Amino acid sequence: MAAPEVIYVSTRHGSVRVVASPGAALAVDGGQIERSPEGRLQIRRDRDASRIDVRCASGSDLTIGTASGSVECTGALGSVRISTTSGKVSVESATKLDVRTRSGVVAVGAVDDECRVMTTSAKVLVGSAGRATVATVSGHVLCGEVDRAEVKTVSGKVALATKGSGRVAAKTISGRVDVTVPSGRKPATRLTSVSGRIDSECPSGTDGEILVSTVSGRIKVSSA
Amino acid sequence: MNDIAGAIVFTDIVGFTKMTDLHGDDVALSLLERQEKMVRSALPERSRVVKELGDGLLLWFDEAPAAIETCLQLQRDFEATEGDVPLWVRIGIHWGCPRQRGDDIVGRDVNLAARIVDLAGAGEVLCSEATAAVVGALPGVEFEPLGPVFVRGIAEPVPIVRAVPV
Repeated sequence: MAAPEVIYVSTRHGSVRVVASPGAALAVDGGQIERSPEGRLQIRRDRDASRIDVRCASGSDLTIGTASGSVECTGALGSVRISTTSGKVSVESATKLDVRTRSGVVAVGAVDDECRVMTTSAKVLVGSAGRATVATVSGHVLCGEVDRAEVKTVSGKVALATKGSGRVAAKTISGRVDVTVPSGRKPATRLTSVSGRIDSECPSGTDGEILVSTVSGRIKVSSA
Repeated sequence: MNDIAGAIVFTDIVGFTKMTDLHGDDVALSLLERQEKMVRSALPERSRVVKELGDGLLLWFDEAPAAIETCLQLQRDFEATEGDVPLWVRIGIHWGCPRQRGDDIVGRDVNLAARIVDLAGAGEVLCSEATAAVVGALPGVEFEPLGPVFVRGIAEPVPIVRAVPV
């Protein structure tokens, strides 16, 4: 069976809104569907439109590129890639996600597989993900429920809630790291801070792995 | 001067300004020295450091596969390096034909490579689709498409891929 065709949405300016629902046919307001010279199924913004509205079937794969403007995706999508410079990015649900933005807010509901967010200063909120890979310079990172995670930030604060079975790693320079594990779980921990305080309220065991290192940030591991 | 085809590589220390502010000039200097030493020792034949750029380096490789393999190995080495302050580097690559100006290289392709590194996160190696096309199949490496991306100063969106060791 052929892989589903990726929908490319490109607009230098203006926002993008995508709504996925079961069985919906591809439709667009504020833009045109066309074939790019490379053969891509591409949506381009109409010159006079300030926003592109896309309706597509649940499970659709999307690649969205903007230079500025917000991106809002609701419904259950497939593999989603978003690049923008600023503005809010929100994705309700996807099987896999890659977001690149300089600033703003990245709000993610649920991602089945990997949720990858690369940003300079955006605040990153992830509801749940199979694996969260997040890198920021100053943006705060808040992951609600992750099985596996790898977070790097220079000065942003990190708060992770684990499912209690996978490997969770966080590295910061000065950012504080809070990790919450499910009640009753006993993770293997390796917590290192050059000058920051370390508090761990969890008994040590083999329920997953928590690795946190920071130069001057505080580390706290606690039970939910 | 004649155009020459090759891989243009930019490295950039993530959060360097912030780290300098937090930990001072000595730490900043040590990060720069660690990066430069590791890069210079990793460069294969027919590659060179073109110049230093603040907290980054501009590199040149005659061969695209060597550029990809070297940069992925560098990321592994950066990750494994010991030190109180981690060395987080992002890398962007573009295959193109810049103009030579003495030992320097200039032109649109150099500008594009500089924009690609802006899109990368700590530990990543991103490259233009043009680079991946030149490389073709490379054992141990996959290219994950990130799509056409708008970058500052370039009119049309640029297809970018992420080089991933497998």
